[in-house]
Amino acid sequence: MNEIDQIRKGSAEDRRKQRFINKSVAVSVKYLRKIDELPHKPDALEPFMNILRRVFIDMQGAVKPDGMPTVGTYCVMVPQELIYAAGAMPVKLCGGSYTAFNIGDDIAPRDACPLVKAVMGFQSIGVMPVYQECSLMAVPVTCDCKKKLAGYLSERRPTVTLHVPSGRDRDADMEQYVRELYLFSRRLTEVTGVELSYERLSRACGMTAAAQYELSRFIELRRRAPLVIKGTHYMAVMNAMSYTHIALWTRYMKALNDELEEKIRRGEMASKENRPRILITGSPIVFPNFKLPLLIEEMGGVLVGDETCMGERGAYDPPAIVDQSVDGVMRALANKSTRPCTCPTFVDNKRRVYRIMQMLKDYQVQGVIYHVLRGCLVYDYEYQVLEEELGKLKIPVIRVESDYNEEDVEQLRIRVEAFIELIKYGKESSR
Amino acid sequence: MRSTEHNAFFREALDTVSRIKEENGMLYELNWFINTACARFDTAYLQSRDPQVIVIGDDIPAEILYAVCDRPFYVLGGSLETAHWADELTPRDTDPFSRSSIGWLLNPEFDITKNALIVTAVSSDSRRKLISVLRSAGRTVASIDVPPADASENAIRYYTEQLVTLARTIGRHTGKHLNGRRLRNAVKKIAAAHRQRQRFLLTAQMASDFITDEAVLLAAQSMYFADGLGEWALHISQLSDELEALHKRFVFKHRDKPRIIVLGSPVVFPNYKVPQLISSAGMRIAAVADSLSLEATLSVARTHRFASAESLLNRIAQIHLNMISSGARINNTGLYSHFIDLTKQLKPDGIVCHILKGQIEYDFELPYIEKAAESMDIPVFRLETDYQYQDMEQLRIRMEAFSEMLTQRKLVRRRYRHTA
Repeated sequence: MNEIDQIRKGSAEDRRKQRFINKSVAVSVKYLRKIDELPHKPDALEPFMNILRRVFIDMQGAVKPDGMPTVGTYCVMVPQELIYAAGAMPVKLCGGSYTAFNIGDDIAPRDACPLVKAVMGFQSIGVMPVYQECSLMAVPVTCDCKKKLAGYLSERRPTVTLHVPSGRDRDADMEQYVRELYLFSRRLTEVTGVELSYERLSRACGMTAAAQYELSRFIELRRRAPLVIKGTHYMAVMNAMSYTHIALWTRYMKALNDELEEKIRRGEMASKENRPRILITGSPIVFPNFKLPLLIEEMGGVLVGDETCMGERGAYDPPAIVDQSVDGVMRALANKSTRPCTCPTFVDNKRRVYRIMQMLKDYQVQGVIYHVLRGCLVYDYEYQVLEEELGKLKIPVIRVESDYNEEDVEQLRIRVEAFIELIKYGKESSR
Repeated sequence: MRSTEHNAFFREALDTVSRIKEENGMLYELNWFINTACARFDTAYLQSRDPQVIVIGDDIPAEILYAVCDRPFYVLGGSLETAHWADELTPRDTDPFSRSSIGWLLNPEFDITKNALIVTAVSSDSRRKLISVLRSAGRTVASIDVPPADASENAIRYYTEQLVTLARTIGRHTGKHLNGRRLRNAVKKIAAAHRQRQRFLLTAQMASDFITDEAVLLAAQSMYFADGLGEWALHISQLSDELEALHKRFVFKHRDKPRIIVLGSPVVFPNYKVPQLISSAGMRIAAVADSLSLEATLSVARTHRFASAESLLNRIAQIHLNMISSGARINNTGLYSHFIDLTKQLKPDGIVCHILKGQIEYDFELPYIEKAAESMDIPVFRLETDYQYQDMEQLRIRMEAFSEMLTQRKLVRRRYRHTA
């Protein structure tokens, strides 16, 4: 019996699942091919591409040591050190799949954001090992959709919710988040059987610190003008981090940094000097929804940085441990997860503007693309403030609203192309 | 005629009250509520009101507010014109409540925020960003977080701490510091007002031939618009007496209209599109189960009222965390249980789930409501709208079809009962 006959013989649910896998794999193959085909791809990028291939095409679980349980996280505000210390591995499960989005569209209300719809779709279809193998889901309540997502997941999976305070400067708010982390840690212990200890926390912090060191090296290399690595390649690296054990990711990252340093020495840069340098900020860009970074680079722009939660935001700040005890580390983790975070969940989020201003300077940005996923209201609110600030600096900005489908690609292409031309024209006329 | 009568802001309120006045001409006491609600749209009144404390939404326990402030000024949205004023300040998909609230507080016509401390609870995305917009515009805002997960010990502790901090902040602004005596008085005051409100709703239900749904809604809701809670309680009691007297004196032939429970996003004066549509389609509102009406059913039990300030605060936090019905919660058990209670008690013919565009949290809860209603064989109608009036006719057609369906079901049931 051939494969088609086997599928026909299966139940309607099996056929539905098979259709999902086929479609999902086709989209992932397409985007991985596009990333692959971008020129100046470093050889050391291959392991990261393989991770994405493994998860989205081969339909296998996260890359981790055998027998290690995984904990699904839905935001950068879940400190990964705590999960590693409990003997588990965090897997960032924010979805970017168009196929899962279509399934989630039938579950979630029409105006829910596509990222949450995709997560609900993955949960509902139940064929992605990376989602299915998670022993626990950790959902920080950062927006309305995540709030309701937590309710949806808790009815189907062991789920822990973390209440992220809307303010972060008061001691009371920080105390609350510390308490939430302790409760989370207790749930982790129930799952893994590993008690929280200073030694384990310290070792986990050491692992993430090594990753942060490599990331900081990478950021330093990326600041070069002209660019040494394409922005889309960088995004693939950061997306792969979601599904890989941190120690392994650090090893791959070290190899990539070494290769990039070598390239710089040889003068092999990934872009020409006169290309418009663009920064993406706003809603996260999750694989395989790579249409925006790909469009920027296909249209002749250079994606020099991204201020999103799938980028360096989650891994940039190390915990500042001043008290060498479990409580001291917990407080440092609570601080690190919230205080420097530029997520618009916070009422006062001026530091996001400061961070972007700093990135504009660091990466010599000439234009900003503000990415808003349809329904992501919190990011949409912050656009106006940023537009005003960038206007003062005479840096052009466009707001690009998008969804998880490919219907708007050509419209986006025209807008991105026009934006890049605007930057080029602006440069020429100012000469 | 006041100059403001020409503007759209005042006209919107005038349209609604004219309709209510016309349909409820025999109720003398209703005029007080109409005037109270209308005053909020009179710029002269608004300029002279100068509130010390402005409250956005209904998520903050009233006991806390009245313990440290005499006349809180509630902003509950509802106005299309204020929503228009906020167009420039908010993204396209912002819900009308948030737009309207910003319009009330930042607009070219009047400034009620000059000496005011604005307080609110961070219960949704719009709310957290609304605070940010107001602060950027130079307004003083104090906020509290509503724990989203459950009524666990940690959540109650955090919520109580937040309430105390908020009460202290308001107290510093008003000069009325939080203490046990003030809190106990406020608890008593709120409980009395809620009791009068419940009595009025029951009376209105009984004397439904003498008062329209819109008038019931206006009278009950004006609790948030009145300058003094005591005065409001007195008038609502008088209105209840008037209705009782009418009910005793006159006999109307009771028309058997389908009875509806309205739930979801709150319907706020002057935007009474939903009750207007329901009555024009030949139905009656049996009850409203939104956050505003649920909030008005909560009060501290008599046995707890003589406790210390600390235990009273803890009790208030517990009650509100268990029953709070805004979309702030992961599982909106408060709204759900309130809805189930009302359905069992009132046995409605249908349910209208009102969802203001952009208030996605209510949309997430719809499947649970639908499931529960299905098990009780009650049809659910999802009505999505905003403060605009352009969709009235489309909605009217849908609502009429819903009403016809409910009427048919009633007829079939009656026939079935006869044959049985």
